[in-house]
Amino acid sequence: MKILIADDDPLSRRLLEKTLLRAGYDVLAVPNGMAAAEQLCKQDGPRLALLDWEMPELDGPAVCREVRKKKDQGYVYMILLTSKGLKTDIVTGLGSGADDYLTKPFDSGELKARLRTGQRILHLEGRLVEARENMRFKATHDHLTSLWNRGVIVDLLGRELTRSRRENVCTAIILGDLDHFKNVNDTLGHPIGDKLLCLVAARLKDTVRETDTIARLGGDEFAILQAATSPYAAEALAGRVVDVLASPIVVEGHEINTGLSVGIALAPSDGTAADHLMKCADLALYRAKAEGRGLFRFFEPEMDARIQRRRALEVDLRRALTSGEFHLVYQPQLNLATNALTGMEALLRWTHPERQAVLPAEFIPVAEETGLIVPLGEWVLRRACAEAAHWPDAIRVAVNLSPVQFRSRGLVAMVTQALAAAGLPATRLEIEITEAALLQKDEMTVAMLHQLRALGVRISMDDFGTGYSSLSYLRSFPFDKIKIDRSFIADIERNGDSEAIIRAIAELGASLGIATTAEGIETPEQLELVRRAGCTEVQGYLLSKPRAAADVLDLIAGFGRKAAAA
Amino acid sequence: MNVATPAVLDITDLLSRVDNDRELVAELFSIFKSIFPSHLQRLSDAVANDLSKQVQAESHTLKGMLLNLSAARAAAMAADLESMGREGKIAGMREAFSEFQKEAETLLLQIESVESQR
Repeated sequence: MKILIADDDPLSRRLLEKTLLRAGYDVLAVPNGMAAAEQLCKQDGPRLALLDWEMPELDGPAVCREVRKKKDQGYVYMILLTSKGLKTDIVTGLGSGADDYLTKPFDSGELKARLRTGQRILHLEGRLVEARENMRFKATHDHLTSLWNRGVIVDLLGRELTRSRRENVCTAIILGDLDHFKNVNDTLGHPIGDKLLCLVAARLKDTVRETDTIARLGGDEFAILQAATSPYAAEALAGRVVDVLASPIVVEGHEINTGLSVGIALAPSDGTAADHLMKCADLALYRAKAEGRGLFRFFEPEMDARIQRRRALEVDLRRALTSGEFHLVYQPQLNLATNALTGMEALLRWTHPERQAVLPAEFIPVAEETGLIVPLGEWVLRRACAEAAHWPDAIRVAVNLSPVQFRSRGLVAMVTQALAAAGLPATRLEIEITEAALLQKDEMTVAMLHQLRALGVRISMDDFGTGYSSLSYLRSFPFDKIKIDRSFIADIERNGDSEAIIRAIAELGASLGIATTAEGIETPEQLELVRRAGCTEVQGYLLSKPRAAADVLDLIAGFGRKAAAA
Repeated sequence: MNVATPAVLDITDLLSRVDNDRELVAELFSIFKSIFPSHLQRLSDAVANDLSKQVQAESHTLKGMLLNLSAARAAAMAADLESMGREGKIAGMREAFSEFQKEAETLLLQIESVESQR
């Protein structure tokens, strides 16, 4: 360890130097207080010092005071050497900032023992500094990627906005969110997900300028603060980060195709408060996600209005669940071979006290995002089962289940209880799921479908043909029915390809022994075309618009009379 | 004449304080002999001119050197001079310095004696 000796007496200096060299110290001996203070105040100067009390110009206590004035360096342990023996002198020496004192003539054993004490204290101080640095790092950095954390970037943004106002310059906050990151965690596991986040952080760091600040806000969210910029420079940076994450990332042999959706907010045009600007960037990010992911969007004031509407809808949805604003309507499904009704699809309707009817396309996504779909879906199932229990035995009720409901482990138990409570045989219930429920090829979802099938419940695939790999889903589970998406039917009279697709699906169904239902039949021509294509069932306005529960028995009777007449 | 009395230079104490490093002791003697005369001269001048502050400073420096050499008696005399200088006691200072000078001469002889035994 390096030690400084300051003594104007060459005899004393040499005695100390030799004693300490023999003890293994790296000794720096200086003849006066000025030289001692200069060495000890250096950032990499000695941290242990023996200072003679009496020295010309700057004495030992004065050196101690100089050293203690410096706050931005490590601790220096200083021992005063004195031939003064009075208690008042000792108090003065320690009061100047010295840690210890030694009286002349010193004993080498005592000197070394006191220096060991100093080293122990310096060691502890080193650990304290290390712990403090560690805590400071943890308080300001993201533990996984070592990027700055949310607190730091929001704080820096606030400071930058102050500067931005003063100097009239533009500041950009760019938020990025990885696309489909949850799928990576779900399918490859969290350790791979964590490594992916680190690689994403590295790519982002390589992309930004040195003057840009980059942070991980949490989860798969990142933020870049671009100071003293322009809308064009912000756009260029956003484009670069989107591009750099568009190419696959390989993690432990897995080639992961992720992507980054990005939202940009600018000060002062979008706002001048840090929280507000972060919110604006978040809304722009939300828009980028909604418009297809892997792209960037600037904030626009209209986005704020939209999000306010969405929040209001969420509040209304929660109230509607408890205040009986929902009801079900039913649309018949007809067997084309027998002209007999086979079932009724239950469709959810919401009568808002102020807005009247709210479209399912508007409120179902909000219910799914907020998780409200779970209690809402349960209400639908219980209600549909209870109402279907009053229908003739030959008529099934079809109920749509959201992919979100399959994430709830209690789904099968809930269906069982709903059937039991209604007294409805399981064979009269048909569950309709969309391809989205099977998107993640989740083993739990498939296991649930098998458990429902084991109860006697029929399972049909809804909106067939609109997904990326509809056929592959048919291999995931042996469905009882395929419902051909209404978009093919709407197009069937004008587009020969649609007819060919419907025919192919119907033939596929026939070969697999699966019923095929054509949805959205509105004209006699469409009916005729799907009949010729080989579909086994139809559903649509041509047969009947969705009807209130109270009208269902009449509807069934009417279809019965028509079938008998035919 | 036997000038080597233990009170002048306690060589045993000195050796024990330097971990029995005789080479270091020789080096310390050499340093002492080279710097002592000038310090003694400055002290002599200060005493002759009744400069009590300088007497205090010089005798303090000499006291430190002598303590390090385990020359306890000379160190004690230097301490007396230091205290007289601090208190501005001119009376008796010349006599005290004269005593100190004699003791220093004895010490130098003692050092030479030790050196000749090596």
